[in-house]
Amino acid sequence: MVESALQGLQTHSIVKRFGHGRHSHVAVRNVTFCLVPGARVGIVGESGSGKSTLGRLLVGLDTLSEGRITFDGQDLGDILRSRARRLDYRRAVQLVAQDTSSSFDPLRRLRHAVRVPAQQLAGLDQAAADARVDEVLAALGVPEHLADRYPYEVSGGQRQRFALARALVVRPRFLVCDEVVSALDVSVQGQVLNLLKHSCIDTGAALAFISHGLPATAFVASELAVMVRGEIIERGSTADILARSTQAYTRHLLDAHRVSRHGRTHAMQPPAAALVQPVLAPQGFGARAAHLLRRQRWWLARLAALPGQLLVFALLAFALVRMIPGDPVRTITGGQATPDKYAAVQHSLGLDGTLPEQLGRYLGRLVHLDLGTSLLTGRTLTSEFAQRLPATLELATMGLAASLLVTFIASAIAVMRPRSLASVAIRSYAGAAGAIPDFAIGVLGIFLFYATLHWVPAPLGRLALSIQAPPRVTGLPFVDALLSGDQAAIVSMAQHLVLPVLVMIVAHSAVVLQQLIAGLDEELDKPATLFRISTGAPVSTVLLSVYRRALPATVTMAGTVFGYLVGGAIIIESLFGFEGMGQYLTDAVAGADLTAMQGFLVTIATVSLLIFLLVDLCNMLIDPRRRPGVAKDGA
Amino acid sequence: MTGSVGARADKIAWVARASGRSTPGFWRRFRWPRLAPAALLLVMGAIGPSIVRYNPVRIAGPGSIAPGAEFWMGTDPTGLDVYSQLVAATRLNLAIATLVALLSTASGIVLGLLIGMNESRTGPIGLAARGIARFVDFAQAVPAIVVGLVLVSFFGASATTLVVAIAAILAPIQTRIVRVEVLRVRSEAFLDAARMAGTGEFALALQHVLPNAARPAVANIAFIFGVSIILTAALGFLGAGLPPPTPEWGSMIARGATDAAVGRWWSASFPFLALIFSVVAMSLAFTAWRRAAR
Repeated sequence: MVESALQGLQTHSIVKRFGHGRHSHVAVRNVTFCLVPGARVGIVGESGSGKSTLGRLLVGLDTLSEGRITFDGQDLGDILRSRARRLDYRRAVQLVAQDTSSSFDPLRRLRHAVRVPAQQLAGLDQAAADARVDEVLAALGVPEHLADRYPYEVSGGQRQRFALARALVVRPRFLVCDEVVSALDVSVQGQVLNLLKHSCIDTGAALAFISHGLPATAFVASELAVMVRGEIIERGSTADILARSTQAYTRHLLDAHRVSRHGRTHAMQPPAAALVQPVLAPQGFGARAAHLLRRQRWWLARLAALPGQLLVFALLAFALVRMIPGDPVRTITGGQATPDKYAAVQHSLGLDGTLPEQLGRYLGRLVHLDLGTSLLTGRTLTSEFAQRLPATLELATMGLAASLLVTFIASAIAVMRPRSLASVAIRSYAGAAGAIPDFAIGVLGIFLFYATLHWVPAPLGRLALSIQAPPRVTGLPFVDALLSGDQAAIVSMAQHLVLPVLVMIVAHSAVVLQQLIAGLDEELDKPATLFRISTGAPVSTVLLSVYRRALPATVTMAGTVFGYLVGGAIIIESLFGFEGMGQYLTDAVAGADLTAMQGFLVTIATVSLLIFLLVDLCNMLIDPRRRPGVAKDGA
Repeated sequence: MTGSVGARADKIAWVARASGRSTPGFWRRFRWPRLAPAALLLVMGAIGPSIVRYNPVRIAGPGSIAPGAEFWMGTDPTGLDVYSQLVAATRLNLAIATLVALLSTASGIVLGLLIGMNESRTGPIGLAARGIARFVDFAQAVPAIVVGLVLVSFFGASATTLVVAIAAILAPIQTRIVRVEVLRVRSEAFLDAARMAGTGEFALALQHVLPNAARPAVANIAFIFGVSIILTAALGFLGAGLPPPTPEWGSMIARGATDAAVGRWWSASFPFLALIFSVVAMSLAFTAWRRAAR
């Protein structure tokens, strides 16, 4: 392409695409446009027509997908790559964006925002920059003392003047304004527009005024460009376009404004169907079917992540054993072991051979579900865990079910009667989430209910000593008792479970309760709920709908709590003398059984990841927005 | 209720701000009485060793004596004085929890900032950032107590190991918070404004993203502090903490557990109360700070 000698900002067939592949969305297509010094061009179009993206491309805040932009004949990409030239460009071309609550850093005073460009771009020292800030603010009619306030301490109109000041402080040659008055009251709009127009005329700055409001644009701009679906369809002097546009779309825009100006009450004509058709919708049966299939495969995509996650944890456990300070083999065998014994222990720890060999053997064994052999008991970990894991999971599941039941009842009380004493108590309890020591609650529970009140049996196992354990069928102790039909065993086991489950309720309900109450309070405050109440719906209906909407967050929390409970079950087991994973782990820790601990970590991580997966899948089922591959709006 | 008073104060501050009047200063808004429990703890931690009645690591008398004039909080089954142990443990438990809170928050902020600023990039850096983000997400799925037990028994029970292990376990919580905030702040318009003012990407991250994104994690320090106190004690309870008779609340409760099962309440209750008191004290102090800072 020939270097353009033209002064000013020029775009050459630029395209901006968001996203990749089939989800991509073209925001700006094939736009060729120029802004010469001193011009005041208005760019009008509806929301989503790509005009804001065009503005961001012009100032170099977004990168182009295709085409190029030149500034005074030089490529913008080259300019932005060099720091010095980029700063020069920023000094020459400034952007004023729509006023939103986020257009200024909430932690810094307004003066700072206006001073920084003066220092960094115009190279002024602090005193000179401050003087320049005062000068610009005075020109814009902003009371000086406002500069020392925080952004949220001034009105939207004042804030927009500061945004203007922030751009004008470096005396730019080109000014891109994106919807600068759209968020303001009509009376304030006029003031800001006047300021903007006269600032540009006084300083000779060229203006690109992007807006969906035709009257404001016509007032400021001497030329108009009309944008539809990423393309500029018409350009000409403001007077020409207003008087005799030939484009149907432009006529439609003009008509819409005329109707409102004359205050006529007849219905506004909708724009032609071709103009509002969404760009993203897949066309044709084949494409639609493919689209649907992609949407339904979300759970496969989530499932595919699992092996990678497992591998990460397996590798971490592998690495941890090798990071142990000193020689673990010597620690275990003691100083005077024979070379044979040493080699045997080394082999059983998987520490013989080179590191890649060790890793290869370790992963190979894991694939075959072989976690190694315990140094203490001489039994394979896989068989030990297969024996114990069901019992622990049963305990955790019971704790979860009981906690959830209590949580739902307590949360209903807390939100239905927010001022009652019960609600205050429940809310304070929920506030302690995460900081309730389950082991200490357990100790106190044993003291209170066993040692003092004698309500529960001694914490010495799942069954009274006189009762024979029911035959193992499922591995889940309570289920096995139920299956055996042995009444004495069922009653005894239930009695032994009361206190542990109570401890789990007290120790772990707070986390879900806190989340649920927060979610319910938020949902109750929403207009949708107020509307429902105002229609006279019964309380139960309102509450039910609120619970349903607060559900996804609660499912996530329940999953997390189940994780806690698996950890908590370890403590409960050691406290109440239950056979299970917890007891095994504490034994392994006491006996410094490295293999057992490594295998334990991998096993518990696997269980946790499976829970995590289940929670994710549940959430995706409830809320389609959580599914992977769902196009996020790029524009 | 104290909660509604606090809410009213918030509202007054908000109204004052909205009406453009300046709000009373941070120091005026701060509710000093809320610091009292935390201050008491700090004093106990500082002068603890000089107000003990017996050597906390030596047998002071017969086992399992009820509280009385001689042993204010009784003795545990091994004959250690509960009061002396409790006071002496304050320093250790507070120090561990404080270090953990600081370390995990600092690393969470750094990591969260790095992930949040880089995860939408293409190329290896973006890929690594996304990978770490996912890992931080699912690392939380594994029960902390299991990881803690394994880490501490692998690397030996020392105060340093405890601090590093617990900080490593809790850092993902802070990292997640910071990351989510970074992603939120990154889309804010003032970042583009700062870019237009010539601020480079690195300075942008430090000057605008970091201060705005770190706040929730800093506000979460009290929670981290509480969790780390509990976790330290839980490890001590399971026998993976500092070796006995080092004074530590968790191992005190563990020793008291056998007493509690036969109806002697004191040796487990007092360290339990100390645990709860320190969690509540920190939470009160931080809530007061947060209210005043808003």
